[in-house]
Amino acid sequence: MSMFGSVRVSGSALRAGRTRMDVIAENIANVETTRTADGGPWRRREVVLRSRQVSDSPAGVQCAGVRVAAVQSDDAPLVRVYNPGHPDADAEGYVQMPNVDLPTEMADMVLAARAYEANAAALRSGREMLQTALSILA
Amino acid sequence: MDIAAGPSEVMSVTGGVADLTTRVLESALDGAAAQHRVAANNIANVETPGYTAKRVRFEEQLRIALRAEQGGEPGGPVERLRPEIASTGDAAGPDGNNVSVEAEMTELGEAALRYRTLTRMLSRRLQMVGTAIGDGRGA
Repeated sequence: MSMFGSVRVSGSALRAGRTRMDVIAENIANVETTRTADGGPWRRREVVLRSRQVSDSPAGVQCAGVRVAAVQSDDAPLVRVYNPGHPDADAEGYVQMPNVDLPTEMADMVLAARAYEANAAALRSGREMLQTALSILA
Repeated sequence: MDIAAGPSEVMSVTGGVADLTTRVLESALDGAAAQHRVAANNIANVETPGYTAKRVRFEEQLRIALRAEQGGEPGGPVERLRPEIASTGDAAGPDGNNVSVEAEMTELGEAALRYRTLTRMLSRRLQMVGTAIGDGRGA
């Protein structure tokens, strides 16, 4: 119910932000991976965020924050690089490289970090309000 | 307690626990908490494509409810008041999201400050009742 709601909402965002950061880190770590468990080079993965229902029922304003709906592969074409000495090079000397673009990942990482900070600040503020509410009894 | 204070005065003081002022404070606290929750939800969805920022409409409604209040009986307009949600209607970016972190942070700060102020007022209010109960020796 009411007051804890705010803290829980921010908590859901921190959780989603953590997953997002993990996926970005995975992409950066695999920027040169040409052989994965599924065969073929690494494909960039992306987090899909979905908002949860917001409602103003008679019981009060309900908010449930955000969730990670899916982690899906990016269908962008792989990059073909001429590198005949590479063990995964084809007959013509080309290697299929992951479709990870480092600047994009870096920009996403900064956005994710800033969003995480904003949510942490919101959580702090909610927690302080909770403490204030307890002071009614003091 | 002074003997001269008859039963009616005693009633009015102890009845103060649930008088109109206290109910307005409680209602406003509810509103501030909802305002905070919705702002936190907007920040949580700052990166969610298609999310539109929400706002709690409360103060204006509280003002109207106060005007409609007659005699301050329990169950009146103020007590029935519930915060409502509306969209901010701000222009959305290319991904359909219109959350402004700056605006939401301001909203959060404002809600937290209001909550703190109201809490203090409610606390004082209850202290006054406590003083009355405690024979003027303090709560």
